[in-house]
Amino acid sequence: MRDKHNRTGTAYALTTFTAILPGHVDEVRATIEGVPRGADSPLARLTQLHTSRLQIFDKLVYQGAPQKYDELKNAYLVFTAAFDGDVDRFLDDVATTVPEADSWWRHCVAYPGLADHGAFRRWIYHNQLDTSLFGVNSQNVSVSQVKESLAARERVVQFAIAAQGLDATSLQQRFTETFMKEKAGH
Amino acid sequence: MNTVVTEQRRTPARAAVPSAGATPVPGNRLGRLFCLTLFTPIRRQWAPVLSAALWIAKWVPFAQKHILQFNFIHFVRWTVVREMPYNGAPQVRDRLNYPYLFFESNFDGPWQHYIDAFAYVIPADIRFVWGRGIAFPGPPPAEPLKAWIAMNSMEGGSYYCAYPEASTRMVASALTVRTALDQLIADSSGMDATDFKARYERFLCDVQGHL
Amino acid sequence: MSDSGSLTDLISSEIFNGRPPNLPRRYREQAAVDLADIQGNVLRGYTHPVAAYIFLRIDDVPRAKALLKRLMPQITSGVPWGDTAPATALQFALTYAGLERVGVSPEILATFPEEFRQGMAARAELLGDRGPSAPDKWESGLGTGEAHALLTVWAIDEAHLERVREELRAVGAAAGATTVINETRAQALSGGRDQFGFFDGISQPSVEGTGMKGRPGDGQPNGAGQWRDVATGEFVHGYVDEDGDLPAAPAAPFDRNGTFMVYRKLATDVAAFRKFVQEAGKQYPGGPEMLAAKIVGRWRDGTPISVSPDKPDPEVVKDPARINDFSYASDPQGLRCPHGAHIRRMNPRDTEGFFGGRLSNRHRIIRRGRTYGPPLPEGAMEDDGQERGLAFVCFNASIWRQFETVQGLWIDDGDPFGQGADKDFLVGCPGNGNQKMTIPGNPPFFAAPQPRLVTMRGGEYLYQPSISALEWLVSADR
Repeated sequence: MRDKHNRTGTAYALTTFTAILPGHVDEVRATIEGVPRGADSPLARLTQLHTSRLQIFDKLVYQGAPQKYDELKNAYLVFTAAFDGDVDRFLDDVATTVPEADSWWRHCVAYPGLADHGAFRRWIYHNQLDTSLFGVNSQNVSVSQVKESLAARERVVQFAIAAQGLDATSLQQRFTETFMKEKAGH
Repeated sequence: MNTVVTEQRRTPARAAVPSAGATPVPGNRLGRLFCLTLFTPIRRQWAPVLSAALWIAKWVPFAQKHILQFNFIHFVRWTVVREMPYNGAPQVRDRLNYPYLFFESNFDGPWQHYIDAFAYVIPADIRFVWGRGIAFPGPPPAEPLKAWIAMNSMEGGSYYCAYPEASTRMVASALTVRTALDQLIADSSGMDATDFKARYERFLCDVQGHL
Repeated sequence: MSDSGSLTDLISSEIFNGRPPNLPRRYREQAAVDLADIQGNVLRGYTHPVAAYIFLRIDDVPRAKALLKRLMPQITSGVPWGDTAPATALQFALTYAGLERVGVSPEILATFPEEFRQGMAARAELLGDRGPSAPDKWESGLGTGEAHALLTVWAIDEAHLERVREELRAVGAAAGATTVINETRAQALSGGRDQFGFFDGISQPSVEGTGMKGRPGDGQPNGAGQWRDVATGEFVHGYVDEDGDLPAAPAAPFDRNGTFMVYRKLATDVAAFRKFVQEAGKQYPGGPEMLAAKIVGRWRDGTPISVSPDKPDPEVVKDPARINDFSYASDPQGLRCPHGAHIRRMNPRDTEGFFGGRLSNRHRIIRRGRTYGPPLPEGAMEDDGQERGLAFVCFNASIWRQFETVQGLWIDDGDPFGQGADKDFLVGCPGNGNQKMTIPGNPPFFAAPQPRLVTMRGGEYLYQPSISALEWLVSADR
């Protein structure tokens, strides 16, 4: 049921809005802004994760007349993720490999902790907003496929430059050394 | 003879659209990627129409020519939000006057440039999706739309991507090259040098737009 | 219409005003913009053979204003001169620091855009000014906040230029008003060539309302296979821009007839270019000249390779209706003009991904730079230690949206053209020494490694006020 709304091919879009405990907003903000970025991020341990965003949602922007003024009574921690595969599996992986997640979610209402995977998943699903439309540019491609392909392309470019102008025999020899041995070594 | 311009002076779209050269790197930027997140009101009567349209777009290829056609967006999601999740005290139940549209997109570069694509290439789609929002400046033109987006953009926080130095096109190119390379390796076993060279050059020609 | 055909014109234009003979005068119609209030050299290029870019530090504000007031009669507007160009023409622009220095109020200063306030040096990473091009290596006086104003001097000969410089010394420096902190003398090379030997400055946007008829290809594709002028507001504040409204502009009196100016002194390593082209040209099937043309996007004589991919074509170069008339939509694989070629990056037109020009129309710039330094002698393959290059100058209504997009996203990167992280091979910063350019063909050719051909010596972002705004600045009572 959940998959139908949030999945496009092998990728799943998770969107959660978890209310922050009164008075805890500043601390959450500081915590999430302090999360190391890029390869150093704790989220990098989730090998199935393509992208993710963590941010505070604490005000509704007034658009102007004739809108009635709408007020947000709680601040929310918004966590979005685009990852490959099963969502239960993803959340279990978060619970086991990203203990840092505790430092930002423990400021949220009714957060059960990461130890009980079932409780954690239920809490996340309770706060999940189903996606209406999820667009993916390169569909059915996993994170590891993307990374391997990027590396392969780089090797091809370097090879193509170095092999420019080589005679047929040298070319084939060099190609074999560069690409075939590696394949054989798998 | 030169004439002084007599054209009516209009109010310029003065609202400053922020440039994207800011340092330090903001919370919605990593490597090449810029994440844009919006949470904007929709008219109550329009929400079911929009929900239905987004649902249909999932299954109908025609959507590919519209809002999903752009090859500078990795992942994009729209969610119609009718109520905020409630977890009991001390959370106060949030009752919103409007349904809202949550939008998150990951662009290969400053979103300001890509909004031109939305405003000039698919303005009707943009007006359909966001246009029943209150006080939404329908494109074209693009500048008021950009100012509206800047006003609504959710900032701060933290952003993660497993391959932040790769754009959408770079990913697509890499996949193409990888597939072609695997085919080249498979085809070339047992070939003599001359045949291999010809096959290799064919490979280069086939993927030159991706190298 | 075009008067480039007659021999007399050829001779007189070469001798009297440095206008290359293959750049005919444009046909003029009635202008719809206030040319009398816009400073000159924005909407029409000057052809004076001698020029100087003189950066000033304002030491005493009232005396500096008096100096400027003295120079005002020589500051030319955009009104066409007809047959007699003045012997000297001046342009005056200010940096943000300069506007602050002359006492523009904080309220007005706050209406200037962020990138202008920060200045070019602070934006070095975005622009690709790294390594030898980084601000800490720039010439003195540039990028430090010391530069308050730029006086651009155009003169028909050295003597007239010297007269202006003398005035600056006598009235400016002697009176303690201003100090010249950086100066570049520019000299047009023969045939309108750049230091690399290519006919430069061919393509300029044709701007609406200027009274100058554009040639095919100067403007933007109009969606019906023809060309249209670019909206005035892309280059001058106070006029409608490509988005259909007035562009964001500073507050009055800087809201009209002014524009932003970008100055970059770009040193060119001509020997390195020649060496690379000669070496790599041995491997490239088309030979060195074609390799060079593929990198630039034009043959040395100016023939666009999109029009004539196999060889230069003097007939095309001579014909104003053809020299700039081409589109990229019919060349999606880049087999005629590579996607990463210099001119294709600087002005993508209707290249794939730009939706028929709809995503390129808001990123045009007017280029008004000049070469500086003596040319490297023909055939020389080693650098002679002489400084030479291009004093790059461009005008635009928005530095970030126009110049910085071209420089930061299209020159210093290649992704919008499907070229990944490949930079402009001619002018881009080669970075890690491992950059390349893919030249489509059967099979494709890889020009690598990219040598450092251009080094940034220094630059500034400036605001060039209208004539009336200048008058407002120099008037004591405000």
